[in-house]
Amino acid sequence: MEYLLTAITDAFGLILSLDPEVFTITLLSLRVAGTATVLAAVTGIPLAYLVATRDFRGKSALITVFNTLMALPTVVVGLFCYSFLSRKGPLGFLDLLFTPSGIILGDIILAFPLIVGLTIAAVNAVDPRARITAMSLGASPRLVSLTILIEARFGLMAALFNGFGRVVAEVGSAMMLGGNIRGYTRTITTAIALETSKGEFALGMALGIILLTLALMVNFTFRRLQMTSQR
Amino acid sequence: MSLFRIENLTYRYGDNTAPALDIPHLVIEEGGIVCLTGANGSGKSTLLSLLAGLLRPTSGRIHYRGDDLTGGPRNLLERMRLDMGVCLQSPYLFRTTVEKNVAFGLTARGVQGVKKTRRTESALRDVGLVDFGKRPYHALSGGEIQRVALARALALDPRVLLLDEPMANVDAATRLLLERILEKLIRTRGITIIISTHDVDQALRLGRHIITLHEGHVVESGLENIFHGSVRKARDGWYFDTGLCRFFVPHQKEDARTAIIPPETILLSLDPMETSARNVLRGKVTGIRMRSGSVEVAVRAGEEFRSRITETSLERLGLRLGMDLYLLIKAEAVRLY
Repeated sequence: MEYLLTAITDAFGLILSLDPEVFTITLLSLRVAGTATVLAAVTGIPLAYLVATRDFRGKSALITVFNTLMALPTVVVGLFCYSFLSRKGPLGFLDLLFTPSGIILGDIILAFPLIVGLTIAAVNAVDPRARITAMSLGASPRLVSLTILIEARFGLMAALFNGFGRVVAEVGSAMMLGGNIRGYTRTITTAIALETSKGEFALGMALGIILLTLALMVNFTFRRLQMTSQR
Repeated sequence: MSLFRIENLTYRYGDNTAPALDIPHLVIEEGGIVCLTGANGSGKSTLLSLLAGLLRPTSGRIHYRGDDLTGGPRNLLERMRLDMGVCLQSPYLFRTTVEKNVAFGLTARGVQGVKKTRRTESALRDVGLVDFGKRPYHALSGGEIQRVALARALALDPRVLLLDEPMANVDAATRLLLERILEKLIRTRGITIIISTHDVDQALRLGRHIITLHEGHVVESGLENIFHGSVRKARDGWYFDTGLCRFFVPHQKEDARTAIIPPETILLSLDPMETSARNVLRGKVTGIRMRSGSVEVAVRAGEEFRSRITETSLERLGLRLGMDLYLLIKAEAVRLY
């Protein structure tokens, strides 16, 4: 029990002293997860809007696929991307394996179906009268789409925060595609896994506390935005 | 030029369903309030949505001020929409403040800055909601939502206002207020308001032209000889003045603005006979139409009156177009609204 208390005390010491390693790992995690979430959102939200608002053959099957992919195991994504990015793989020439960009690629694949699935649900939940009202007030097709997305903003925020939460906390894909290289591709989760296996509880604990704090901040921000959007 | 001209219009909600609307020919002229009446499911909302360009006809044509909306380019439809203000039956307010809701259509038209603020405030003033601008969409009563939706349409300064059952879910006080707002709009802005209502009394009170729908078809409303004007007092009693003619009415509603005379209560005579009927109007036959079991005779006596008589009476009187005759109307037969 004592070693646990020591680890926690040391962890707070590392955080409060702004330990460079903790700082670097945290920044990389935020950069990788943030970039992946933004890229997944930029591509996923328009696609989700089209799927939600158009009628076409196989629409229901496509939505089922996205919903299934929401629970895609991170190691499967890691394995899939690894096979493509390794030197022998079809995308090996890109030299993305064991780089932050490689981790971002895996994270995009993880966040994309989540953002698409939740955005489809959010757009479908918008009252159908919103579209007719916007049209009747002379809105262009572009403004009609924008209006519906604004009406669905609470659901969109949920999609973004969930996407970010999923990629910032995943370990399998980041470990396989980043390689956990110190100072280069070591993220919070890969560092925790490594430090714990080495018995270095203090650093692992410090990073765990930071990860929990991040999750708390994300949820707090989400709640605040939700309350603002309902006002 | 008519505001809307409809030719062979049908609309179906599904491929194999019966037409929700089937109108071979209908003309709506510009100006005043036009009421679409009919029971629920008669096609009022469908017709309004088609006129607003929110639905595309299954077949047939809709002409707006001479332009064919159905066969024309898409931008024609979008241009027409800019002429219109539309309020849906159950209005939807965007999840924001009242003022942003009212300004939505202005933003869509590229109106910005002070002009947008001024027009938004003016529209809110028109519907009596001056201080409501900052209120969130969810802090409004049913009547207030209806008025915000009306303000949102009015802010666009439309030539045509299409209102789908605007008074269906509001209390009597709000209904009266909305009616006053609409009448003021007609007086001050000279726009055309097309309004659907299942309340026949309301249609009679407001409507210059009443279109009755039944199961998707325009039907003869049975409401003929509808005149708009005001009740006035003279030495020898109360009369209704349309501006083109006047006739005595029962003294019951001094604030009535519409008078209806059932065609079967109007007697036709070749001489100004002395009878108990207080109204004896001289006119000229302008139309004779055979109907199943009766004959409809149109007589111009300032206004155009329609009388329904039997074929035997037609033969006995020897009526023909252009002939002079007298209309005998009992004051008690005039219904005031």
